[in-house]
Amino acid sequence: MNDKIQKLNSIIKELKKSFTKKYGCVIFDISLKKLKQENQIMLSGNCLTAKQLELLKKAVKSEIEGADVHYDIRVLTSQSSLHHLKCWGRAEKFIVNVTSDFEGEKLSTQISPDDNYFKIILQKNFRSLVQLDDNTVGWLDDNNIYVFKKDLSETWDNLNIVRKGDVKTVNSIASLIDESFPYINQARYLHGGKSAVAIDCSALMQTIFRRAFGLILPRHSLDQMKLGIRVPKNDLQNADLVFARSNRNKIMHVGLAFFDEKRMIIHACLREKMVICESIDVFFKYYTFAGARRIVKEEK
Amino acid sequence: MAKCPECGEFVKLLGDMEIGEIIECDTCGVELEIISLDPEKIKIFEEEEK
Repeated sequence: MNDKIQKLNSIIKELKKSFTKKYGCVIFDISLKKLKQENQIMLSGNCLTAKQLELLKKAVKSEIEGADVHYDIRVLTSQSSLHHLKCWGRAEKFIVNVTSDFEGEKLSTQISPDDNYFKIILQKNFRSLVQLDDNTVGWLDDNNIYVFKKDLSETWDNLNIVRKGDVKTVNSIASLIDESFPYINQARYLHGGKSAVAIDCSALMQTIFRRAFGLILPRHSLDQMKLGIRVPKNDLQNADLVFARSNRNKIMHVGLAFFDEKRMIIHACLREKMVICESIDVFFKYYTFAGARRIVKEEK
Repeated sequence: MAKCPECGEFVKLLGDMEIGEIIECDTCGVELEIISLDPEKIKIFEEEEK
């Protein structure tokens, strides 16, 4: 049993080290205690994201055999923990960079004053670690934001978040296409970008669905791929999300099916370094189909 | 049917699925890539760092 406890402590220490490196902070305070029943161990405390808890469980499962490990860990960025944090913020400048690292080098996404309030998880050396309404967690400069010391959690209570199985009925799919037009041949491709000037593929989908229907999609294409319902390649329709992988690597890409007179796809294209609208046949010369999802349908 | 390499449960592949398509294991939630349809083969999909 002592070996197992030692091993668990070492797993926690190693994970804490890697999360600190990634996020620049140490919200991974896990304590361990032996329960009365033999072989039972309780891990309790706080961590930052659900992914961290998942990684902890995975490491415990693969490295500790025969121990009955129980968890009482609060994920600070989970919906149920929302009301524990009373500090909220909003972007003050037109484009505010949110980075995945404390140093501000790895662009994760961008926000603007039009975006919803975000939750401030902690503040350190004039930088804030925030959680956005699409669940992105990252750092931004304090001098780019307004901070509200009051509880604004009600602004998050009625978010129209799209989930697996959801197909929302909308008045007109045309408004989705209309929202994407200002970006075509205008916005350049920027990984992590989310503005009218520079944007990436998943942010483009997030932005147009939000503007057209107020729907909130996750920030990453792999997470967007879990929304709505699956659509086979031969049944693609207007406004479906089309996922594909570059033929050169395993990076997931997403575009919007625009089937008007021709079968087209609108996407922030790394190859052309722009948001473009191109024939789906040309698109599939460069990408391998990886799936399609339908999250909206038109009211009949 | 193919076996999920992560949890060992069976994953059903539909007739209209394609090689290269990414699906989710209903049991453990891991992302799986279809690498063959006949015989049915899947592997864990890990996205490369951008």
